[in-house]
Amino acid sequence: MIDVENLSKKFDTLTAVDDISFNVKEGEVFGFVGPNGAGKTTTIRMLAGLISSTSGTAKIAGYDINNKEDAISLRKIIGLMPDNVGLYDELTAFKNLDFYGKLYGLSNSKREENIKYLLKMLGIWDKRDIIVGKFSKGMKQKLAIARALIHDPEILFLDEPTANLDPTSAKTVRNFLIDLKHENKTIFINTHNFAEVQEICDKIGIMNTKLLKVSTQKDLKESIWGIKTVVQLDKVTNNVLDALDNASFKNIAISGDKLTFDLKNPKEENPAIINTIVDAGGRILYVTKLDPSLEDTYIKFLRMKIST
Amino acid sequence: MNLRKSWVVALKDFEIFTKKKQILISLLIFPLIMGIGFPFIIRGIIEEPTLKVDELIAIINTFSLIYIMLPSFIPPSLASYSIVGEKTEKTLEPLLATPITDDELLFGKIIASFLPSISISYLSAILFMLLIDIFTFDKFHYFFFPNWTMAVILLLIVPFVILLSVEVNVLISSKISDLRTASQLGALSMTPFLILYFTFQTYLNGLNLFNLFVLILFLLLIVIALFILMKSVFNREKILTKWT
Repeated sequence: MIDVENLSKKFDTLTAVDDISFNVKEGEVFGFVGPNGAGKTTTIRMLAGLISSTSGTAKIAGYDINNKEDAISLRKIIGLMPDNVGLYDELTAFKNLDFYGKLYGLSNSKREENIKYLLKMLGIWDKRDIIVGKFSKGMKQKLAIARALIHDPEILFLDEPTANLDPTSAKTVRNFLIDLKHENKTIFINTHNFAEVQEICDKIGIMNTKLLKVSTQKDLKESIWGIKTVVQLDKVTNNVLDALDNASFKNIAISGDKLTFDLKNPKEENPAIINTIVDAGGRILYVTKLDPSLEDTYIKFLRMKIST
Repeated sequence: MNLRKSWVVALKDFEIFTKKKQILISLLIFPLIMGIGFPFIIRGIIEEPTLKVDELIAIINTFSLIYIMLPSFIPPSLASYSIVGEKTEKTLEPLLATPITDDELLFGKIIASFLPSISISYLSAILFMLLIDIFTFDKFHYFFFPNWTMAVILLLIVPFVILLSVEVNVLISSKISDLRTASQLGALSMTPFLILYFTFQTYLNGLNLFNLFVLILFLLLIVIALFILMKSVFNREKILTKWT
């Protein structure tokens, strides 16, 4: 659905996006993360056909972002929520959406139907006749998401969709995005919110002018941390440690009565570890897989990249 | 070009203009001063016992000719908002992400500034003519307005003056990144209309159908040339990335 090949963007001497390539399949949710100024917004603007690339190409549902003849068709099938909500403060919520619905050529009944559905889903239907200037930041954010969806686009580009939202509103938006994912929408999200990425993204791209990594969350975590099993014992004894050593379990980190094993094949190694501990008289309180947060993984990844 | 989309943009702008007090005041104040204030000045002059009818007609014509210039005062406040206002209020990016072409957007912005400007100009002119007729009837014993001079000014010259002023101001608005500078340059753009006003003042008596036709053709060509220029200088990417 989104195919990016060697895409770059330079502003005079500044390289904002440097030779990035990736693809996003239909129905996938792709999280684009990276520090401020990493080129995420520039990438979204290029993919939405708002600015041209300096080199490289990208196709969105087959439409070339650099082909002027494709520009209108491309904009019809995408929905964009920029990092600034950009709503008309003097108009009501309903009229803001109605204006955009008209620009997309929707009929009166379709506009009304879509506006009602979106505002109800986002919990602001009862505020439809209030001018947007009186809205809170969170309500504006929700309305901007509704605007991006007014024409029921196939692909959605969201730049920081839950920035400014309180936890409850952020949850509402995330749930709404999950619903959209179930409707097989392709969603591209720029975000700093790792809870959001963890909850809804199938794939993530880590960007810092260059695209440093594209991966699933699971693969990213495993490539950074490895696969680890944590065994909490009642008491770590020398018997247990000797037994594990004899059974060739060498990469063990000991922290109090907690043992962390670095594994290659957890399906086979985990039962063997448990049997060895139990046979050596150890009392296991619980066994769990070490699951570091995506945020920690991202920070560790960036540090590793900087150090190399 | 889909004119329906241009109309949608224009309707949205109309609604916003009516809700922005600053724009409304700057839009209405000068035409109202002209439409109501000037007739009262003339009323004061009429009471001068030595004033001859010819002199009074000359004075009224002088004031009438200001209607060549007046329409150029109205569009700057609207047109300078058109692109810079969308940019400063961060509404331009989502707007440009919709399937609207540059032509449709620019044409919509022209309509949004043109229609209120011409309506207000005509309203002001109607008030002016009505009050002049009321104040001068005893002196002339006929209604001075409507007359051919005013018909030519209002029906042929005013629409072009407004269109030109709108185009110049939308052009400025799409090249300048802040609202204040756009408004200031917009005010400067009235200079050519002052020249037009003084030309008419000087050569009113020599105005015949041929001269008028040449003038209209000249204005029409400038209107078309300016629209082409507007299109060529409107750069979405620059507006989105260079303006802060």
